[in-house]
Amino acid sequence: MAEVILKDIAKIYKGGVIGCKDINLHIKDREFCVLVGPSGCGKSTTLRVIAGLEDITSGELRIGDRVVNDVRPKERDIAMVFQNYALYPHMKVWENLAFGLKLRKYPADEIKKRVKEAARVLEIEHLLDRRPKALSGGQRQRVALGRAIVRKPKVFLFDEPLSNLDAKLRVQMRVEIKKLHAKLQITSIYVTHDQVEAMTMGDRIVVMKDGYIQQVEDPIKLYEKPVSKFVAGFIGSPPINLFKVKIASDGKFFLISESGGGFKLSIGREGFGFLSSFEGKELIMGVRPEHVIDRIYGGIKEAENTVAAVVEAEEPMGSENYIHLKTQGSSELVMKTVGANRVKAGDRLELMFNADKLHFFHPDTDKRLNEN
Amino acid sequence: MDVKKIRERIKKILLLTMLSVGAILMLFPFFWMLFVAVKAEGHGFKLDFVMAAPLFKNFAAVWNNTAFPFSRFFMNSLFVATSGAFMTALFCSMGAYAFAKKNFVFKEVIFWMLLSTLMIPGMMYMVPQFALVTQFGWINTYKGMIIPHVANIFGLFLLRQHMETIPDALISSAEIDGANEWQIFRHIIVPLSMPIITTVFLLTFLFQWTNFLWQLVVNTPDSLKLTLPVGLALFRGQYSTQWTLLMAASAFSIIPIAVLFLALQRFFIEGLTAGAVKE
Amino acid sequence: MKISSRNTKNIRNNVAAYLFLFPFLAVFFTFLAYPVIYSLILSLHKVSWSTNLYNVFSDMKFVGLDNYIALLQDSHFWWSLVVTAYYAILTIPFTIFLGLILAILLNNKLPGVSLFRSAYFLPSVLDMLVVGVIWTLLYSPHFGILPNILNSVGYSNFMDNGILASPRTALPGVALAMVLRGAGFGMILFLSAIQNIPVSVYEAADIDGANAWQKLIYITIPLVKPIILFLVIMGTIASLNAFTEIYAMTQGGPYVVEFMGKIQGATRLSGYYLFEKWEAMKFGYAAAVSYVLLLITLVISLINARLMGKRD
Repeated sequence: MAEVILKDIAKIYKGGVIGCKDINLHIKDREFCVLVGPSGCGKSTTLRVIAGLEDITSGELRIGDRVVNDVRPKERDIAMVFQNYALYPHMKVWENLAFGLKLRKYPADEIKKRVKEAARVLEIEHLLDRRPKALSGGQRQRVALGRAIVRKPKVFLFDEPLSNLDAKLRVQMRVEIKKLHAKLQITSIYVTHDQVEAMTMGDRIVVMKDGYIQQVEDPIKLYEKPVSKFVAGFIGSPPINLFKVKIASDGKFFLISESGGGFKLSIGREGFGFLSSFEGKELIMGVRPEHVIDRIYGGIKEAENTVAAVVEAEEPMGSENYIHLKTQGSSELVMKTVGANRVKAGDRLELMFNADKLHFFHPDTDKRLNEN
Repeated sequence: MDVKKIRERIKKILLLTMLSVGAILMLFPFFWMLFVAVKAEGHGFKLDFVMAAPLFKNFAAVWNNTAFPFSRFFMNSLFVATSGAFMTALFCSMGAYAFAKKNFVFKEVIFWMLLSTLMIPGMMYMVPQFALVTQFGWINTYKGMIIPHVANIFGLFLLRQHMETIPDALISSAEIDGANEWQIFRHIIVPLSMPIITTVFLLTFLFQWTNFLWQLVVNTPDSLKLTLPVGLALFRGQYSTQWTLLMAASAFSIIPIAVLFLALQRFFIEGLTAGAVKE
Repeated sequence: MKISSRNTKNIRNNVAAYLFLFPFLAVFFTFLAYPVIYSLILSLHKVSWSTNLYNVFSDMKFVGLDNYIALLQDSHFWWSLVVTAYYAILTIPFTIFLGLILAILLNNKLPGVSLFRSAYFLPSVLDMLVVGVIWTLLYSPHFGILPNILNSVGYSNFMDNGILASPRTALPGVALAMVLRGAGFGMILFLSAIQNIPVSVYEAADIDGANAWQKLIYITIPLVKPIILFLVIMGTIASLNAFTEIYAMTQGGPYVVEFMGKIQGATRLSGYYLFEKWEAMKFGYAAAVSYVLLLITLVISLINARLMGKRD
């Protein structure tokens, strides 16, 4: 049981290449913390720094009550699950599980007991005598997990453990890992590039980009209040719709428009006061697909404040339907609607946006401007 | 009848005949060696069928020869080849691991030096190596016979090439599992490179077993460390007409290698083709 | 508090790397790298004859380029280069040709292919000295099986002297033995290269109407060209290194050829000549010989690198 605290951690490679920088994180005991971001964002570097596989350039790293900057990986009391499982191909499953214990000179019966227990928890008891080659992807994944849990470490590190599995298995293993975490209550740090994995698994999510942390937040807040255009775009599927809009005002309403048309927003509306300082300027507006409404299908009478768009294609998923549209200003957007709302390419729709769910981002800094 | 099938069959028979004739021609010297080795004394170069009685008399005679004890030569060869191969495989594996998986200062410089040394013909080393060995006092010693040849650059490159394909995650994983540097090498790298290590071992064994020039250079004729080829050369110097004994002695050198080769051909072929296919 | 541990892992890595490299590098620098320089130093010295085997190099005198100058005027050395070139011409093309033929024959689906492959390859791993000795028997006068076979077809020239005692046939005799020994190696290389050619290439040729011969000329041979080049280089180096076969079969003889006003050995290759200089304890001179041979090898390697470079 342990906290992991990163204080001003930086990893700078030869030639000044930034691995990660200014990393400040306080991962609580028993927390499941997910590091997410596109490839090259520094999430794996951060994890490897925590594991001790990379030297820390500057900053301080604590695991439990120890500063571990100069502690070797094997003495950090951590376990790690790797992307390609990293099972030792020449060892049988039980040897894979026992290897770490053997090196630490545990007595034979203790090793046996622990291996058995881990195998039972992960339901791989029947595979103990096989070699990794003879296992399916999901089974290998379980063995990799088993190898981590036999040691009963203070911290689990996961480096994209599910990225090699097919979609169905990935969903299944996601749940398994969550269950395992609930059962073992071990602090876990999980790296992924898949925002769905991050959202579904993390108690807290750390979004990273270009070596820096963008935002640390729990999943729902992260979704609802992304700090920047980048975070807004990275989290959510299908991704948020972004438009370059011009802000104007007629004294009563803000006019938010792009070249082909626009809509109004009453000036007194709570949370949008900042818009007045951008009058005559351009902003980035973001609206998530589920907050785009088809006026006619939604049965809404008011017809003035709509944006016209033409259907380009649809992706019916059964329970819901993603409709791809193009506005008169030739911006593309996606609307997420119920499965029964079917359209054809070329259909003209009148769209409305859920004003409470609109996000505005600064055109230069990309920072979110909303007041709440 | 199907004309095409008949044509196929004829082609096959023709091919098989050609291949058989070729095989017999290429292996003929060795059959002849075995044939002469079991002939009666004095009939070595006669084209007759007078056999030794008992059949393996010549083998026993050279094996137990007091002036040229081939049993001793055989043991020397075995020892030199085995320990040379073992040391080479070990040193090359260790060095290859460093080159494949570690960064260190002067890595490129050393690599370049190794690469350029590969171009130097072996004969060139005879004089300076001999000079070194005399200065070390290694004349007529196993050390002198073995050690100058255990830094096998080709073997190192072969192993390095293979070890580069071992995923880094396995090494990281072992590191977290608590393995130290030597344990990573011993428990992860070596087992995963075993086929190539075997290849390097066998090729070195072969090289040491058949190496004639160096063993001749580093031993005086009265040395107790003579290997089979050198012993054979000296024996021939004295008994150049005793073909039956000469051929029996030759067989002691040929047969173990032939058996080893036929049993473990895969490793030999892999190692010997690796050089040509990849630089 | 800031703790910097920037270099611990790096230093640890370096130490570990050099510990792993140490045994190999120790031997490499002592017995492979240093001798290249040491040899050059030796070649500039005259080493006095000494019978103390443990202190052979006790008396060395610097003589500058004397050894090299003497070498340039040494007809035996020039002759050895001529013979070496001849030996290379005798062995390399035939080894390659035979290896290629065997590989093409073995590339057919036939019963016992792997058996044949082993049979052809086997001689190339066997002890060269022994192979040489066996062939000496086969070539020997009066009773050697080859002179007898030739005699039975009406060619009796070799009955009295054998094949190795005649200056015209001695080197071809050695070459024949070595070609038959070495062809298997080439065969294995060609075979693996041929089997790497995708079947679809041949199928495409079939559709284009190529016959077996055309497929060989237009597809197989161009695609195994790198192997041919490799074997040429290996063969050249082997010729410059050739010693054991000469020691076993002819000891450089017969010594009946006249060249530059001196009697020369018909099979005295440069490698063997170098050995003789060593045996005569002319270490400085021998070192000079080996340096010239090294130079020749490097030139050949360079030409090879050029050729390889052009091909890619």
